[in-house]
Amino acid sequence: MSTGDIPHGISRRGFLAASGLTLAGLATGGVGEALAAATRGNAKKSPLVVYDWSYYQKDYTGFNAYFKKYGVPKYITFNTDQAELAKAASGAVQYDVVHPCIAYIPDWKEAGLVKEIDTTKLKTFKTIDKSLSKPGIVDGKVYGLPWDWGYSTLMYRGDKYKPKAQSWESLLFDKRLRNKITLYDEGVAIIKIGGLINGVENPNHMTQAEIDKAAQTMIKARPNIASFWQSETQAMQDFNSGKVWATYAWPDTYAQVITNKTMKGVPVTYMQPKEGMLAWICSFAIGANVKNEDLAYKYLDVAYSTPAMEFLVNAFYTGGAAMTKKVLADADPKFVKQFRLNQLDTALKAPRVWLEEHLPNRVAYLKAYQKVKSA
Amino acid sequence: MASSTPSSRLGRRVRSGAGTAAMLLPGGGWLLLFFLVPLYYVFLFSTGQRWQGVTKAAAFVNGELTSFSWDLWGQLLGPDLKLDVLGASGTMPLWVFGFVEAGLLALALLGGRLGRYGRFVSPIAVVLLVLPYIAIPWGHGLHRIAGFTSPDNPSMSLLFRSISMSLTVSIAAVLLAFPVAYYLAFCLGPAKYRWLVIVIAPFLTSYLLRVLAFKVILTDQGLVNTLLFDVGLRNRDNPVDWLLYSQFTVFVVLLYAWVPFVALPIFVALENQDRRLLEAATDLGASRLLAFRRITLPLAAPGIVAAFLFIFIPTIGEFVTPQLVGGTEGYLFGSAIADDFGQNNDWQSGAVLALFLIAIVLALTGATSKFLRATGGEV
Repeated sequence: MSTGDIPHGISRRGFLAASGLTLAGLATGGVGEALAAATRGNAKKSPLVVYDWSYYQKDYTGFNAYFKKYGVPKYITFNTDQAELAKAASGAVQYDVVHPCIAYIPDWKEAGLVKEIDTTKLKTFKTIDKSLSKPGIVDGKVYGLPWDWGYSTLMYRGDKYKPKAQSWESLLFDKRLRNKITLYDEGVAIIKIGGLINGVENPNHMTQAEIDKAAQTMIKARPNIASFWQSETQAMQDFNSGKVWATYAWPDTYAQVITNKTMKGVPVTYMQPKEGMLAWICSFAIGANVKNEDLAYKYLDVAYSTPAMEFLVNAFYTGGAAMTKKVLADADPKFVKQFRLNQLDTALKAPRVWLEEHLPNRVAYLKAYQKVKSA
Repeated sequence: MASSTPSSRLGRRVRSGAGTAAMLLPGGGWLLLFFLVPLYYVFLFSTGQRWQGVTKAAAFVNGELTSFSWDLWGQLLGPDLKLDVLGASGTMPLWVFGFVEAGLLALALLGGRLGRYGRFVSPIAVVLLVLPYIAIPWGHGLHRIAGFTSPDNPSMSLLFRSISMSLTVSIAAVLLAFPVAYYLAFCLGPAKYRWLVIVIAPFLTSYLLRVLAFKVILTDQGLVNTLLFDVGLRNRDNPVDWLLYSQFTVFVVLLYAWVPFVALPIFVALENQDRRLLEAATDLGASRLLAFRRITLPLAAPGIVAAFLFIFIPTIGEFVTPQLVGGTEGYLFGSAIADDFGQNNDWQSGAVLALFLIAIVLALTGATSKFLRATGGEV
């Protein structure tokens, strides 16, 4: 059985209690929210502005060290790499710290939206994995520091559906899944999936002809795609309610779904498709027009601390860039194995996994996606 | 002007210089500032003379044009159309298609003046113009006798889908609202105004709320499906899945939302009719049906056309309803514009689509406003 085929079994609450983490209360969601509200409720506000993915903002107790000392920053929600890059490029948002995926760092740098990171100001810099750092370096200067990494694939409900094969093609073209799949509303990912189904050599380096063909493949799959989601919450609502039986998911989507009260006892599979999963490394960068630079470095220092990494791993099953032995030892071995959290040397390697790379022809992917959406 | 009534004296005074300025400036200035000026900027965006990137480099990263160019217009208007009519298909340059449609529209409006057979020309032109767009929304998708698509240009295909959706909704809404308005105007006594309030009562709640309520009704485990399960028409594992997130849903929700809006102008047109005309018709021996056909209907025609335009024009650019309940299938032209200005942050492409839609709507409004006047004048 491949790692991805494991349906979830043990209760996460049980695991947390067993591992003796003080974070146990967070696992139940409601208690977690209350706890976070209590920690943050009376906390002072920090002038720092963090442009971050929504699930990393809410209740992110991994950043408590920062919250307690400097206050809670103002968060702006980051939904998709494409849209946020365009938004930031138009000057519509002002931020000190931003969290784009590392493959986009050259674009952010090129557009003049991020500034060089002075790594000497970061106490935790040495803990950051060097193998993940390379894409964040442009012209020999560091513009983005890797923080989290993980996969993107389809996740399906075993109670409703048993696929004939573990593959993108099988699910996207199975008549039984008509109108039962929801995918991420992000052009590059959708076109890459079409490319994977068509068997392209590398979804990161597709020619215009391959891109057009991938768009055609995804147009053919449209009857199965009920919607394209922009917010993960929307995807989880539709998935948990049974409106859709399969969704494009990150490890954190899986984590949040299987620990949801309404999903108790429902077998959920995070698929390892035979064409390969998509994978990503996301990164922290400092805005070119940063107003609170000192606080930004303080925030990043906390980001690579053990509590922040432990929360990333334990609450979101997502890999971290500063995974110390302690972080791994405290994590649930089942999820460490399933999401290859301790196998960084192989976890992001083709052909089973296609790590996101910088795309010089990104706009071509986006134009092709418009065709898929409008078809 | 036969006599100088107080109102016409007032008219003359207002037409004098200072009066004109005082009357026109506030409203006109407002329109100029918030309609024409933005429109001008939208045009600049559509031709690459403005871009969103704070710097040229930032614009370049997102593939924006940074100098004057008609490229985006060319991408919209250049590709050929594919026509599927009753199984046969062919391609046609877009300008030829536009020419044919404009010709049909002209015949529909002016056909009556073409001499002896003129009165047949208008109805035939209207049918040829409208029929290819009328759809039956059932199951996945809209079913039409003709399909106009543009394989190389998804936006143009979406525009045809939007026209089809909005035309079908408008016609269905008029058909549904007319009997209601008729009943209110003619069959109820003084209670009719109370009933009118009831008909338009849904407007007292937020549109968003009403649309979202449809999710509860139409979802897989919603009211409709539960009913089907309970009466045994459907198995619990096999709900009707196209009730939500389909073009059918968009049709149903739009129809629901707009029927009261349509009932209002038709009601007003019927309400203002001189009842003595009907009495005269009866005195002259006309049956009720004949009186309806020759008096009530022609007199109500301006109200009906107004009602039709009331829905057709706003729904053609509709994007909220498709976004909330349309899913991937319900994606319309308005959704593409909203996406370009919103999520995609591609204002240049969005500007081209938006301006093209404005041009179409203006052309249609211009053309049909003539028709409105003509219908009113003939009776």
